[in-house]
Amino acid sequence: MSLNKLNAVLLLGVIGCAMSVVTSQHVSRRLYGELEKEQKLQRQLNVEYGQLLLEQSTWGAHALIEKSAVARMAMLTPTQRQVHVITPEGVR
Amino acid sequence: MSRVYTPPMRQHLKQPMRLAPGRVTVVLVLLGTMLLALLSRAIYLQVVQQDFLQNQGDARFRRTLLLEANRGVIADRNGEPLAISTPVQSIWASPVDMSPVPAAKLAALSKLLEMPVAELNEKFADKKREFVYLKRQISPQLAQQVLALEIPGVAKQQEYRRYYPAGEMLSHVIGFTGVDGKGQEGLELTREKMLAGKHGSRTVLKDRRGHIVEDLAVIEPPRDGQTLTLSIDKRIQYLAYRELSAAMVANKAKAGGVVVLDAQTGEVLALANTPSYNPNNRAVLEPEMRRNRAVVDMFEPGSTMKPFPVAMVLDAGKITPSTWFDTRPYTIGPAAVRDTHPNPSLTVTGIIQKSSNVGSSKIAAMFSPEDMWTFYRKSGFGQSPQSGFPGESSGRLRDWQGWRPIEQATMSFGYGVTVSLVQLARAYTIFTHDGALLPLSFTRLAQANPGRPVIRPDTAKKMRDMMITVTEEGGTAVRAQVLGYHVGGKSGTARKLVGGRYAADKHIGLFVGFAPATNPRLIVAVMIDEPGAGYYYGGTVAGPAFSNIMAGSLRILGVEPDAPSNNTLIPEHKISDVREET
Repeated sequence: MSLNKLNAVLLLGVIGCAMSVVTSQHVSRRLYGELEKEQKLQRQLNVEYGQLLLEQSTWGAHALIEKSAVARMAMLTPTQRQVHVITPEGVR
Repeated sequence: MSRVYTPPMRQHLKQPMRLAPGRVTVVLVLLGTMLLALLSRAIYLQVVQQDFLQNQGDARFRRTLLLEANRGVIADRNGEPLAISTPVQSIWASPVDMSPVPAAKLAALSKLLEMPVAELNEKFADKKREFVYLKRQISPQLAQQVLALEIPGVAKQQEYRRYYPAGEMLSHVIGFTGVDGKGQEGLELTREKMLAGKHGSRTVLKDRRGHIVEDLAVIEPPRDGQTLTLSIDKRIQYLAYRELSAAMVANKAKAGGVVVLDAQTGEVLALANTPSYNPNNRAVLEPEMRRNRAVVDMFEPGSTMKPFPVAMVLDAGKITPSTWFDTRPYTIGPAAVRDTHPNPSLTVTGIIQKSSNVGSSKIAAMFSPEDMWTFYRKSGFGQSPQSGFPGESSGRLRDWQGWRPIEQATMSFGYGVTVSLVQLARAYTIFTHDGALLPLSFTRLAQANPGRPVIRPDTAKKMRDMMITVTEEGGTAVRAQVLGYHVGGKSGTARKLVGGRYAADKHIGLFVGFAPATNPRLIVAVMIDEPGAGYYYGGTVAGPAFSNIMAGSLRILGVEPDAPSNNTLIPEHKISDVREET
């Protein structure tokens, strides 16, 4: 009689375990899917970062800035003769 | 159960079963045979056919996915990007799956791809083909618009394309990659392994609809290419390229090159050549433009060589900077050694300042050919500069055993020996870095290399002091002056060898110098090939470019002036005042 009871308990335990295996497998698949999604996003963001870097350095190209400074703002690079160097001791 | 009544059926069962013995055998044999058949079939499938079947199964569901590694970024020493890979789309079509395209859609497609309708029709013409590129490497936005037309059989595919924000000003150093993404020139080629990284892979089971069901093996993650941090400073590079281009135009020259070195570490801060090309658009790419002249081209350095024999003899203690020499023309065998602007006598400092051929040949003659050869070798001449570029030249320094006395004389003023511009710039590190020759580096160094001693530190100091006079009043390169700094250096003008003879009208103008001369930070070497605007002296054609590049670079690096800069104007020198030997 007690043996039958034990069997019943074990059976219930097995069923419980089986259910939890199924659940955790489901959860793990879902999480894996999310991980995949996040990794994809990471790759996309990396790509975008690269493109932005590229854009920044294209717009910040020295030649472009110089051209625009000369043409639009009428600026000039001072020649060596027009430069004063001031040191901590004053103008030398 | 009573024994009184027995139901008839039970009674019937109680009777012994009688089967014909033959029937039993037949059934047993039949069952046995079937079992055997099943077993042998199982064995056949599991053992004999296993490989084939496993392959068939794998072919249907098992997929190995390529995980692409991103090519590494090339950055300058301050982290500014110089080469970046970014995804682009290629549009392709499968003519075999296509029905005739409506004219309106075809027109829209031709407009988007900037391709005539006739050309598109030609690509669609071969109905047996399954794959034909319409246009490669277009922006993702444009590809989206193309796909929005919904033409059956037209699809896109992702590819990577390398962009070079620095464009033509740095193309010779960085090089470029081919359509397949592999390096083809410059550092893209020599550092391929480091930049390419390693592709990863992932083996999965996919169901009928293409969903990934299970990972079969361990995922091998892709290893992205490493970031390559160069020693180049983009700001100095831009300045060098701009000034070189300006000098090319001003002198109507054929070609030119500039090398800027850190005088204390041997790092290459800038290396520019003209003519150049835009690595982002290589539609027009002539071999002339591809030449990395500063590294590949060999030339006779002319007077820029003179400081070396002087340093050699000075280091041995045989002369001092104020030793006098008779610098009147003389002959060695049948050949005359003379200066075009003769001085009867000069001190060693004067020989450097006035660039006297007679003086430097007499100084060189104080040593045996073997010693001179050894000294030149130790200064890096005739040896690979190990710049890490494809096709770099080592220059030519013939074995001393074959030298005739006149050859030793000409070699003292830079004829009969060939060098590349990087080699020449590097050799000058013995004057700027306390007598030690520094190795070249194109990558940013965490720690400076000590270098290999060639001359004593005090000799290097004396050489610097003498070379300052070159840019001072009376020197050959006053136009190389930089306001606020002492500049040391040496100009050079070499006739070019054309068909084995020195041409009278083809020259190379050179200036190699360093500043601030009292504690050098930078070495700048400028080469102008075949100046055609009437002037050809190195101090005249290369000096101004040197001065502008040096002044700008010192300002960018924030180097403190070592000379008065109270805004007194340097007197403008008439070009005819500059005298220099060729």
